Amino acid sequence: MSNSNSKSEIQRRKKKTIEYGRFGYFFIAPFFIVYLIFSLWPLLYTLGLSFYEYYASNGGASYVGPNFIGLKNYMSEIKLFITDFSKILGNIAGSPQSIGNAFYNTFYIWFFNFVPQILLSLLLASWFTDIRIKLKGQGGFKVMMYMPNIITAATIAALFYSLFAVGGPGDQFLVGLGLKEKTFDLLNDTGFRRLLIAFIQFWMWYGNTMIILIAGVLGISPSLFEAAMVDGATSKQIYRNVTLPLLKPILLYTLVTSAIGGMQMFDIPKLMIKKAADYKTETISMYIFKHGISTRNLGKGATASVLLFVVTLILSLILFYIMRDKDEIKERKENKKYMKKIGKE
Amino acid sequence: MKKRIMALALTAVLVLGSLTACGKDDSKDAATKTDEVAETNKESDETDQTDTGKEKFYIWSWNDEFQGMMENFFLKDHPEYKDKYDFQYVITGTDAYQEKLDLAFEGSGAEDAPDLLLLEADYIKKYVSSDNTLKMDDLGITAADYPNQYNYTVTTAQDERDNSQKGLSWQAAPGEFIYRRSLAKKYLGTDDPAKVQEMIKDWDSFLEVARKISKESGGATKMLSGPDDAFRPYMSARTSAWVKDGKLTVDPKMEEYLEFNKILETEGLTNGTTQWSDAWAANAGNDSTFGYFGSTWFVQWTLMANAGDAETGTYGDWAMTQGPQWYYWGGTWVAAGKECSNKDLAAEIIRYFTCDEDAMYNYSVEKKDYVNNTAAIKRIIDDGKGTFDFLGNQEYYKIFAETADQIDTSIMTAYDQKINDAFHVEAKAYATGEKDKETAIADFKSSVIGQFAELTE
Amino acid sequence: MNNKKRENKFQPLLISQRTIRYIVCIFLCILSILPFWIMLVNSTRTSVAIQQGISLIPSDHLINNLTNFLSEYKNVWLNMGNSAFISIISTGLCVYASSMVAYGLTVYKFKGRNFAWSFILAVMMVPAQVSAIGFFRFMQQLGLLNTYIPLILPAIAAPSVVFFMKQFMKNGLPLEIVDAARIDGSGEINTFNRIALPLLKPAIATQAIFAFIASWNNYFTPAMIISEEKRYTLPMLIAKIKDVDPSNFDLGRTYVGLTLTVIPIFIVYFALSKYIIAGVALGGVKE
Repeated sequence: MSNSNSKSEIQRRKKKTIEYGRFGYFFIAPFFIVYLIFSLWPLLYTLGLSFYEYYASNGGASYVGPNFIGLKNYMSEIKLFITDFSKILGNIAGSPQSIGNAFYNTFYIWFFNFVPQILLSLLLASWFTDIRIKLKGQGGFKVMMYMPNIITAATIAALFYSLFAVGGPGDQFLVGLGLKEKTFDLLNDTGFRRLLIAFIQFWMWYGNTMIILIAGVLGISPSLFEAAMVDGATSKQIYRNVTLPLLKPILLYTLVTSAIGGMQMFDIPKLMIKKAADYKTETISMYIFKHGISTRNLGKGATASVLLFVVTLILSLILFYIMRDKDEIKERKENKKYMKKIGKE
Repeated sequence: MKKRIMALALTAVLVLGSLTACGKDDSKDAATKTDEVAETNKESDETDQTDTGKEKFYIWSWNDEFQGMMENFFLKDHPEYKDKYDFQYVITGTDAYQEKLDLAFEGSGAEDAPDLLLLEADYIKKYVSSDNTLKMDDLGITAADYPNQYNYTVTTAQDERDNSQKGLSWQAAPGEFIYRRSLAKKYLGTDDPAKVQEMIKDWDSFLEVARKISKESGGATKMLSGPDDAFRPYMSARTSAWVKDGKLTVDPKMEEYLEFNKILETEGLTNGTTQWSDAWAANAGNDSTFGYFGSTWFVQWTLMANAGDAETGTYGDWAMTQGPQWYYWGGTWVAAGKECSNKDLAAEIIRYFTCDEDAMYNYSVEKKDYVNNTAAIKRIIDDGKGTFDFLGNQEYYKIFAETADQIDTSIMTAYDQKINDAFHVEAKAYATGEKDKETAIADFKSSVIGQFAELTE
Repeated sequence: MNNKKRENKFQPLLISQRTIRYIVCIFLCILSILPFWIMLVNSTRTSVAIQQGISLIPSDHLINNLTNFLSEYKNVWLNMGNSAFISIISTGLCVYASSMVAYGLTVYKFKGRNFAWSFILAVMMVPAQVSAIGFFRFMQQLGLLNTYIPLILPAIAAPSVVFFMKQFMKNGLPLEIVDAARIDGSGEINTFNRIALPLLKPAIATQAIFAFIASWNNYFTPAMIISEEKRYTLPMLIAKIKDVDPSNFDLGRTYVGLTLTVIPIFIVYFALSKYIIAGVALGGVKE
């Protein structure tokens, strides 16, 4: 009696879940419909455009194309990428406006933003989680350090732009220190502008990274630290041997998101220049915007977009590979061997 | 809380619904528009009716100068249009103007497609030589309406394909060298335009004067605000266009300009600003800069606005002379868009600003803008109104008139604005020593060709 | 005993270390504030004074600069209103739709559920710029350029918000409650709105803050879509303020404009900083 009852109960439940299942589609529908229209289709469309010769000609008054040209766009962009990238790396005079220049700037700015950022964030995270030296006012520090991250990037760019313009405070400061004799167009200097953009990115993002790392450290089981302390480990030893290895996943996360974010850098470098023609600190996003949207060379812009996608993908994979848990893999391999052995026996 | 969330959900649904509805309407509109222009006109006439019954009339520009002209002149003289029409000014900013205009013309059928549009010298060729602008004939404006316009302003706005008139301008833009009287007295011993002209009659003597001013002022005053200030005179000295038969060429004069620019930069003969930067503009109000190259609109629209008043600034302390080279700089034309919803009104406005001698006379006297009407200019000079206290009461319209007669725009191209921008970047790179001349020119070419896929080297 | 001794021995070292750490942290805080402070101070000074040198003490030209700014940039309130309109609606849509998806994937078992979830994870890392050209072209074909639809509707599909909500639901939404509601005869949509959403409030609040700020600060998409100055969003206005028209140039006015654009964010940030910082921390450990 009770047996059959529970059986029918299960059947009824099963029926119900199947019945309710329909609602699942209803709940996920808005997301997928919108994603399809506003993201997936544009993505495929972009991919398709990259195989076509299709551009606004006559200064933009009419169009040439679309003509299918296969991989021609890729060949010319990749060729430019290689020649110009190596030109800049080899310090050969001249850096024409091209995809090589754009990728170089993007990498350069990202690197000089990320390295100091991650080092400072790690240092601050270790300070803020140090049990021996408890810092007071941590909440306040975090609020202040994170603040630049939340301010409109356009405002920050415009602000730094006027701070470092000819005759602006930055210029006056350098003249005042005696580093420069006369007022000087700092922002026209490619090297300076690249580093300034990198600094702004660093300044905007280290607070964010620091908070994430602190959360990561706090997520590590306190018993591990206690055990290490009982063993007489110093702060530094604990940090190097306990904290850092366990932070690996979070560090990886930070690296990947920062790299992908860095590839998208647009607002700050875009507003750091006076005219669109000034390509000296052009990033890949600006390059895509300029060619795909401003001058409407759709084939070229789309090709650059796909290349950006590929580079992003490669970067993520490299980072995952570097940061993969070697011990775990080793363990897994040994486990396999062990299992095989057992199986044989 | 529950109520609030319900409300939120409701709004979301409502918004979603209304938005998709909008989207549908627009796409339908677009479809019909590309089909038949005649029908579109009728349809947009209907849709352009606002609740108050006023017809909307869209005027596109990169800044609000023309809006001011409409409000302070046209609508003052013709107040009846205020009640009948709702003038909408679509202002996009300088950098994005061309691309936004192109998009509007690509037939998306947007309601705010340009009825009237303003075009600058650096890209007017692109629009008048396309089907995006209407012929003046279609608006009922013929050559008989504008016998007194400067010829170059007329030919500039002609369609390269059939020489039909596509736009008209209310201003001529001859350029001069405008310098500070007090500084000229101090360092050159005279502020008399004729004598100063003799000192700067060619580029070599111009450089000599620049060196002299820099030396005698101990570096406090420089000849120009920035090294790129001399770009426009050099542009006018060219004999070949940037683009000829789809081929990008660099005129020898532009190479000369590169060298001139480098001398200014390396010898520190300017204040090192960039044209249109804050510091560049601010130098008009202090003693750091001896003079600017500028054209008609530049005097009233840029220089005067930044000069300050006579006591703390430099108002009244300016004079002008031709300088080393005749030139023109800029100028704005008015044209009607291909989807112009009200041709009569468009014609009325164009006639008012570019053909009507009395209206142009009044506008010129009040705004100090040099109008594109020789008869009106002559009347102004004859009436003794061709002087300007900003320029120490100099008879400046006479000087402009002399230069205006020499202007020749036959080598203008549709690409000029973006090519000029690209050239400035490389000129600066060469001047500061970042690149040598060959690299700078090569990079300039690849930069331009990278932007305009149809051009070749 | 032993322990105590050791602590004493290290005491001076700890104190000096502590001092160094405080100094560094305070320096970084000053670094965060300084550019904004210069901006605020400059917005109270005359253009001439700003050009003469840096000052950290406010002057008395604020009102003057402000009136100048408001008369030159007449559209500033309009642009701010546009930004607010877009941000509020897209935030509402974003969190509501994302909660829906997360709920759908958590509560219901249906064919393709795993695929849907993997799909969301996969597209989370695709940069928006990659599809920008197709997006732009498609919007042009639909006649949606210079409208707000392309700025608002895509907010419905925010993979990272879905991810966050789903992670939160793992612990934050006991399925028994949903079952109980069903037994009580509550409809599915009703259950979601009346029972699930209130439980998700903390997560929704955090994600709403970030979605709002992201939309408010977005410059790339509006720069691509919007043409007309009256329809500008705030970041576009900022770009315009930066490229000040030299026909009428005034540095004090520029700084006052920048200050105006920052104030709303400052207010939101300092009012909600606790939640924002907590949200950032949560975002980081989501994996």
